[in-house]
Amino acid sequence: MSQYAIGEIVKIYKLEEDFIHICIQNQWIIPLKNEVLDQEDLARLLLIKDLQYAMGVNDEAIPVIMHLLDQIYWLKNKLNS
Amino acid sequence: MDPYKTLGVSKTSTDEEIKKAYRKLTKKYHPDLNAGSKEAEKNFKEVGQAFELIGNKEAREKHEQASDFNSSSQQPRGTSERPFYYETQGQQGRYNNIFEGNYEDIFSSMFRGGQKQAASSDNHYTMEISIEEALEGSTKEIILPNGKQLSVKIPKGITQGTKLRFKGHGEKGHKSTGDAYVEIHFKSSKRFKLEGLDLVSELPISLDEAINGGKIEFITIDGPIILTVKPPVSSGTKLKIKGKGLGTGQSRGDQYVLINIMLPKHIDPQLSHFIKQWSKEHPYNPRAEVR
Repeated sequence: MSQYAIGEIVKIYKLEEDFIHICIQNQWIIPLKNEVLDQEDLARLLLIKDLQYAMGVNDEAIPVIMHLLDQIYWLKNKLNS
Repeated sequence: MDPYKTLGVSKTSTDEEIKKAYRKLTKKYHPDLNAGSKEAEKNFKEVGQAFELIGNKEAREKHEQASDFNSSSQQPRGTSERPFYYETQGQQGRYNNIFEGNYEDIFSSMFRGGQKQAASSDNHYTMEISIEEALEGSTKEIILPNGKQLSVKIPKGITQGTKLRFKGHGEKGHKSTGDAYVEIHFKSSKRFKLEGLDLVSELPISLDEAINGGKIEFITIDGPIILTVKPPVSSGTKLKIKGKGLGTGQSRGDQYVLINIMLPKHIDPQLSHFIKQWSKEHPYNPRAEVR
């Protein structure tokens, strides 16, 4: 799976480094390696960015939405397997 | 691309109106809300590009100038290629896998009869974590007997006895590979000592608080509370905070707070003199009950 350094993500996706660190600190994303994100972390990060900046979701609602979303994906996978 | 048309706004629309239209369309077309729809993905990208071109006054002016010069000269700089979250949340998705074990029993009871028992090649492990780690969440690396390293992500607020499942990390069988289950157990830490479902924590207090009492902030596993210390209180006194231990409902344990009076590191001569005088006038034997 592709891996990206935080600096690369900042450059390619025009995200602020502080935003990425806040997502890590809040455990909205939990990278396997320090300062390195995989494709799943990146997709999650971009979704959080969309929720915040493009849809106006506030900080308090982010973990709730992500938690519910993860439960849905887990259940979906269970039903498919 | 006409960004005004894409966003459904006019050239006289304000920043606020454009942003509102952009947010509305983003919610409508976001691929994570329309998983698998190529059309939604295309629309979502166009909306993003359009907003990049006219999302604020500066961008709009640039766009207008470029349009006057050559209608096809300005292209948005935005990244059109990016992964979407739904694409990564298959069976191997790390984030949705944290629910493995938590709802396993509920799920199997929903579909009882149709499923075979789990493969016998599953491996079961236990992991001890401190209550602080459970409250704040953490990641721990463990080495499995086969030498493989496993990163165990402990979600915030995990409860004792939760089993985390790691698909494909069990024993290799003939046809399939089993799973690894990690059962979470709590252990005592410097701040929280475990006594069954009860928790015991030490609370250092000042001489003034011991003599005159006070309201002191104390962090329970549910968050901070204000604890009223009634005077006089001695070191070793145990205060009980009901229902702030481990477990749930009626069987939930309690939090005990063990008072420890801490004297200042340097005793002021004035205090020393005062205590000497006071003790002469009010003698008492703190060891009377020990004899």
